[in-house]
Amino acid sequence: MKKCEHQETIDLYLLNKLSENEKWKFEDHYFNCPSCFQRTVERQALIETVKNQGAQIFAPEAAHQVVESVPWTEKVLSYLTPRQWVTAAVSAALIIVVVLAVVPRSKQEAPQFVFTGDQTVRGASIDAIAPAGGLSSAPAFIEWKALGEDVEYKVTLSNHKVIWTGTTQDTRIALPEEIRSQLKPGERYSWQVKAYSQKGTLLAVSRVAQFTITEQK
Amino acid sequence: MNPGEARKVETDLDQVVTQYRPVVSFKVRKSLGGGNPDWEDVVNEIMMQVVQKIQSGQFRGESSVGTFIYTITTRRIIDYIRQKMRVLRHAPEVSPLPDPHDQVERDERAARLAEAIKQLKPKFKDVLYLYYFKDLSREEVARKLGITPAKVSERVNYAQKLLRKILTG
Repeated sequence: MKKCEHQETIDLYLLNKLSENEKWKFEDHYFNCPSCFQRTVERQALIETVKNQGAQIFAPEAAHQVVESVPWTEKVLSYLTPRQWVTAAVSAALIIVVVLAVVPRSKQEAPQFVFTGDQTVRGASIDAIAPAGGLSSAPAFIEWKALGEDVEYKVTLSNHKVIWTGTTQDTRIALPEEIRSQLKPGERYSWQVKAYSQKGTLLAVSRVAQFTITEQK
Repeated sequence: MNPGEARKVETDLDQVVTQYRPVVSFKVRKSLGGGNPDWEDVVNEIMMQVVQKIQSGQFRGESSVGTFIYTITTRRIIDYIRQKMRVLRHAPEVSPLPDPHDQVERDERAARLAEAIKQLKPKFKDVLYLYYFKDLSREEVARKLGITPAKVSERVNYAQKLLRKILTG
């Protein structure tokens, strides 16, 4: 029996749920469509039997038990038709293929930004370790936590104006003796480390750490 | 309709009657009620009118044969109902009993169908129970069973297919 677009209307017609216009339209249709007429007769017999003998066909306990005990797996599976499930699976597979295969290839290199000295990089930062707070003598080293490999650090020591700058790939740098000797007790000094990539891109900036050398009495 | 078509309709008259009698009967029974003993007479009158109108050339092929017969059917049903209402208004008549043979045959068919329904899987029986016996809407059935409304129709259609298989197998 061939399928017809009016198939869904059959139930509504037999259950008297169509408007007068829809009813005439459908009746005119089944007068012209043997397939729909056959289905309508068949469905009418089914509905009549269920309505007249339903109480006997569906024992009350069976009908209710079954309705309540529909397993969740069946509920999930029956939410979509097999064809819809296949479509969903194919779509999901395509998305996975695109994500795993196409996207990494088409991924551009991360944009590189050049910062001025006043700007800081949000997110990544360098932990300044020492010196900090009050010191009894001028510090010999400035120290911070490593940011990664192949990073060049630029350290700036200042006191209102820049006193000294130094670069290293290590995570500590020695203060030259002539600079140490310039540091005066009671003054407040600040230092900051900026990390640069091999290409000279600013990667991270430490907080401005401060220290003072206590006056010896 | 050109003369060629007129001849064709004439030669196909037997086929028209054979093909459309069940369709007309279905519509008449649905409109008058299955228990109405007059339905067969009304169907005979309609089929006679169809043959006469086609033979006298009143069917000019402006619509399909199906639509032409449908129009005759609905008019006759309306006439019958009006006529009955006039009769009932003046002298209510006792409703005659339906044809016993026809009734027995239909009861047997219904009994076989009922047995076949009992053999269906619970998921199909649930849908038939809620949709036809409890008279819930398709959406209400879907909500109760946790499925989509389209799935409700799909299950009913599949149940029908299974029943056809059981009854003919």
